[in-house]
Amino acid sequence: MNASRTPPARPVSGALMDLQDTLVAIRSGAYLSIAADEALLRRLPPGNWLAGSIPYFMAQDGGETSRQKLFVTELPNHAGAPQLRWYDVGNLHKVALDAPAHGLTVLIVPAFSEVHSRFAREAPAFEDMYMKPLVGWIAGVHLDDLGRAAPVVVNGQTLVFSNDRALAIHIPLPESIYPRIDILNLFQPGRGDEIRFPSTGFSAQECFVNGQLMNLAQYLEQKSIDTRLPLVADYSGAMINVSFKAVDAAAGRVDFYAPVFDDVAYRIAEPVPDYAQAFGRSLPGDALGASWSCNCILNYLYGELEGQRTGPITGPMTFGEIAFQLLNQTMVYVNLEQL
Amino acid sequence: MISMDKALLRQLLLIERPWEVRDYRLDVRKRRCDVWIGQAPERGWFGRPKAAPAGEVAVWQHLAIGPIRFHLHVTQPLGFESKGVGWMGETGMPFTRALAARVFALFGEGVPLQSVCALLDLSLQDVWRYRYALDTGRAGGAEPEPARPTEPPPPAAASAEPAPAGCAVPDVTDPVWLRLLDGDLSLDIKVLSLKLMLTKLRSQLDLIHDEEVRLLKLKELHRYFVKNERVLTHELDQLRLV
Repeated sequence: MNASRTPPARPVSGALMDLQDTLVAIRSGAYLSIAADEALLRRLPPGNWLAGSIPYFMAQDGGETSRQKLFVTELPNHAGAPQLRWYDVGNLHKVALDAPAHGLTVLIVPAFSEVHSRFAREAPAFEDMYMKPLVGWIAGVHLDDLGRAAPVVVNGQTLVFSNDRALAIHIPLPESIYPRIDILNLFQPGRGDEIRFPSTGFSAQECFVNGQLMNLAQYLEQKSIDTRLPLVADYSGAMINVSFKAVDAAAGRVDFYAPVFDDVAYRIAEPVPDYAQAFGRSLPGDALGASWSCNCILNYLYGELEGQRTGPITGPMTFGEIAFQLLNQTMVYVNLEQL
Repeated sequence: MISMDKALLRQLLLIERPWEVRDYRLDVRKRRCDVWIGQAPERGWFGRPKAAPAGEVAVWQHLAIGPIRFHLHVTQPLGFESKGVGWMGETGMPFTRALAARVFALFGEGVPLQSVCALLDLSLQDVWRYRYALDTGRAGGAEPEPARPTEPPPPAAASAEPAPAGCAVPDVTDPVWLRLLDGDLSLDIKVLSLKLMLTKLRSQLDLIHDEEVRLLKLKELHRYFVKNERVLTHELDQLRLV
């Protein structure tokens, strides 16, 4: 191991690097957010880092699946040491309360855990949510390992791994820096039917289509809906997706990657012909200097982004994105703006 | 165990007959007193008590007396209507109405949830549960609270976040906030957190019919604007033109 090796220049939102460069970054003492396959994370030494498992990335050279590389983002450290804190289902509702009065929180949640489900359903109601900037992502596994391996989240300071707790890093920032969180969603609600749900949840059987009660699975089949297109809801101008996970026509049941809410109107999204081009085209100019970002594995898969670039923003391709609340098929990014 | 007159305890808790204190357990070390309350059984011939009617037991945390937290275990006869009784609470809620009114008043002043817990010595879990019930329209606002001379007012430092001098945010009493929450007024919003928050508050308002809880939501929106004033210039410019 060469501790004096200098890592190459990398995008502000982070870069995909080998183990050696990651070790150098850790030993520099910087606060890091890391994404990599679990086996690789287990080879890291203690340091100021937090991590989640995922082997899919939008790297500096384009989309890449790798179990040999790590995606490393340096976190800001301008106003006192960031604090790492675990959250389970019992204290998850405190995540925004615990955040500094002025700062940024990055949260990593293991997929398929109860804490994932709780965050997805209840985050909008957490105290101080939306008052303080919070981003993050859902840790996952290689799709070949689905059902065999559990996603993990790691506290680099203690080297504790967990598959049932979320880990946050609360980063204080000076008053002169504002962490502006934004999203880039390629999907717009289509001009089709309005769909509402009688209850909040990760799955649905019944729904109201233009006010008429019907079975969602049958509706999707009858209309030959492409379920790679998410449900989209308009949140006062922010387009928020819920992606389809599985449709069981026989059982009349549809599962989602995020919960549908009973107080929101959804529409099936308009198709997007070319994801990579659309990302590059849609990225606003002020997003180019993003300090942190993540994107969705469904965009990676459905958009066939392996080997393609989505503009200059890099980041892990995750099992869910967090911009205050859980999102699907959306790029999340943070700009540190000088006020 | 320290012994205390049950009749005195009943009076301290402002419990009126036919309710009586059946038992209590005071743990000074834990600063906690559990009190079991039920209706006095009817008396038959020769003053012999009749069998106590069947009932359901509910547990609520009540106003503290000094440093001692009180948890009331109340056996209510089936079908009993407790509305207006300050030392009882709503079904499924953690607090009696009197304590809930105190918590609600602090929310109304913009006191953060953790400060409410510290001021009233309550668990965050319980206060959050109460807050969630308010947000989803399942709990109402304050009901008249019985006078409790032992309770000091909250410290001034914990009161609502005032808008600083020269603040561009309209006063909380400005009708523009209600118009914004009702959806009567639309803004072109650039800040993601405001888009999400406004959607959440509008959705909550659809479920909330209690005027005081609606006012609480309005204050929450106002607090958001005060806290984020520097990044909401585009939105505040539009509010000023209304």
